Amino acid sequence: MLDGEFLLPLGLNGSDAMMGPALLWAMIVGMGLYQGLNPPMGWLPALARGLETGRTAPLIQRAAAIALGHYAAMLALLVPLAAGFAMLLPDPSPALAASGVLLLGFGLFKLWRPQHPRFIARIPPRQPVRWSFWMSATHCGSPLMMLSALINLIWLEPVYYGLRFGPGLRLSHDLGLAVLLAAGMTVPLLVTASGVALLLHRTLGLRLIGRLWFNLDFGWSLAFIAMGVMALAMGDPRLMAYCRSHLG
Amino acid sequence: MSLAQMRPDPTFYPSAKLAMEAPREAFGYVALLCPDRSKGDAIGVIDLDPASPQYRRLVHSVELPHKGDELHHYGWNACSSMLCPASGHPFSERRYLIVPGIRSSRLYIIDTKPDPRQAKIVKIIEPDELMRKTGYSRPHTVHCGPEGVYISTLGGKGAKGDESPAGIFLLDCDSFEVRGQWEIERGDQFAHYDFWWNMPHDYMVSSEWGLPPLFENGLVPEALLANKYGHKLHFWDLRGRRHIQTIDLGANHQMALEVRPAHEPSKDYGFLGVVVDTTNLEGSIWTWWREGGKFHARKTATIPPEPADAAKLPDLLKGFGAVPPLVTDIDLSLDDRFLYVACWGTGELRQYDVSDPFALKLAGSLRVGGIATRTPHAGGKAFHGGPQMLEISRDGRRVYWTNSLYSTWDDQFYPAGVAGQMTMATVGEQGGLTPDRDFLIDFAPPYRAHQIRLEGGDCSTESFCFPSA
Repeated sequence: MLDGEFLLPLGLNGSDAMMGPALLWAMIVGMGLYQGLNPPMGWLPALARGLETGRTAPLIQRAAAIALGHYAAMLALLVPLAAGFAMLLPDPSPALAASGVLLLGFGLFKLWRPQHPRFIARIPPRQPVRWSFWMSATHCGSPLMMLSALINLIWLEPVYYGLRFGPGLRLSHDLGLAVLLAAGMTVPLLVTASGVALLLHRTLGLRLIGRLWFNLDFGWSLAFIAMGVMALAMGDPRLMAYCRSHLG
Repeated sequence: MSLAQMRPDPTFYPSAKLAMEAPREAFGYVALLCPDRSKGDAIGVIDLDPASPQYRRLVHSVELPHKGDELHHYGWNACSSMLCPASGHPFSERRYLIVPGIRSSRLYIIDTKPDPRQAKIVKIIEPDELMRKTGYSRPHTVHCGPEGVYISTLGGKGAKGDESPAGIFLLDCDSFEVRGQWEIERGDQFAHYDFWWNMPHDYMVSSEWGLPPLFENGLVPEALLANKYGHKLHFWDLRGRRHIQTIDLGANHQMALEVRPAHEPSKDYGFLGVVVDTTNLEGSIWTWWREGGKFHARKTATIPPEPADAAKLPDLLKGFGAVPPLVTDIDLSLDDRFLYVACWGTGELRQYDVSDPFALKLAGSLRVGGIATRTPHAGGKAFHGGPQMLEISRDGRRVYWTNSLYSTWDDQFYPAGVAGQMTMATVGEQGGLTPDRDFLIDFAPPYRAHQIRLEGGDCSTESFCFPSA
């Protein structure tokens, strides 16, 4: 449903142009909510901490620590990429096809090998930020998941609107987008994880863990594949257009 | 994609309390060894469902293709530790028994699904592969934990297994590939026996029996009297895989065997059984705990030897005129309330109330077998050997046990032989042991019986990250 929006040629009217970013942001927030429901990415460690201390504040702190690690992992990949695009690739659209290949490949890899990378099991439980950083950066692949969204958002505004930013403005615009995008996924994650942990802590109890713990990772792998296919579908025409305009 | 991979296994329990409330065991497994090597050892499957016509019977046995493996301890590929927040991906099934041969250093992987009565071997890891990948031999205790399946070993390199330290290695819990040594820094640790941990507090505890030359061909009396067996507790950084502290119990406290940490993760203590004090033949229970960032241990219960007529004693004990209790196994109920102590020499099963881990109170005792006493089973039949490997049901209401220690040691302490038997006692609300007079399984000769495992996990397999609150 998204690709129709992006495949449209330049020079559209304003109302259509607004749909693209709105849908993208909705998707980013939705992915944050989904990750927030994933037990290891917040509510499970937060609940464990809440039960251990019998208090709410440490529960929220633990959820926040997981969210912070997630946020840092997003920034660690997206910020250098955004800066790279701003400085080296004024029109990032040719990178979209490449991001599609990465997303698709990662989704397939996760289906083939759903286990966590082994080194994560060696991170001590008292270091939740570090744990979450590496978990998000590797097993979840959250920053990678946001790669095509970043490319699209960068492309949408300056290119779609026909804006021509100077290099300085372009850099701050792209970096700003990366930071905002990371927050757009992390804040819903924090809210959902804290909410679920509080609900279980206050009323529902531990017994439900077995019932509530679905293999959300499986759906996440499928989402990678879907995003990858979408990015490839959108990226291919843009790559062709880019090549035509730059090579002859 | 099967449902099992979409949700955690229902036999993974978040807390000890939830494990106690889960449905009771319908099957048990028991290690059966064939000491005369006329056949392979076997894993027996026992029907433990009182509603079944086959209740208290051996309903299946998985016979091993090699002879002389000497089955001893074993465990599950996956358990409640899978639910720990940081362990992550809990979509493995509790399905495979990881069964080491303590003498052969061979590992068998046995599939218990879909029906334990059709359990079968699915993989064999040969001793040379184990040695090549880990440098260890004589695999022993099996626990499922944060990095997969952890297996302790009693031997290192060399024909006698004493040329390099014994330690722990890791096995992948899904592919059963041997990953290699667990330790990064082992400090002064050389001998090994049992280990367990507190996962949220991130430490491991391990103990020492003795190097293989001290046990494979039987107990070596001169070595025992010279205090050559293990007498230390080792504490480790679990995720860091580093040795952090040694506690020497004193050289006279020979053979520090089972370590049983409290199941409740907020409790920073556990217990240890010591087989014999060479100054007075006592057996002892020790409580170890963590305080101020350091580990401590002290003796919290002793069990005296019992004088006996030398005519009733095997050669090994004639000179002493007494039977040592020989504390060869201890097991802690999931609510951390009762500690069960097997006195294999005197033929006694003791139950201590350990609600206060520093003030153990004897809450129950039961006599069966024994070197000198030879107390018959409650149902009237002879009981060979004495209470040895214990297993407590998750709900804490039933204690099962077998009677053999280790082939060569059986023959020294019970020269008439220790024909394999398994029995059970029920536990009262406030403690106390009542033997089940109808529960006595006599395994077909020449099998002897060692460790028991219960379907859906038991008190010596499950460790938790969530408090029971």
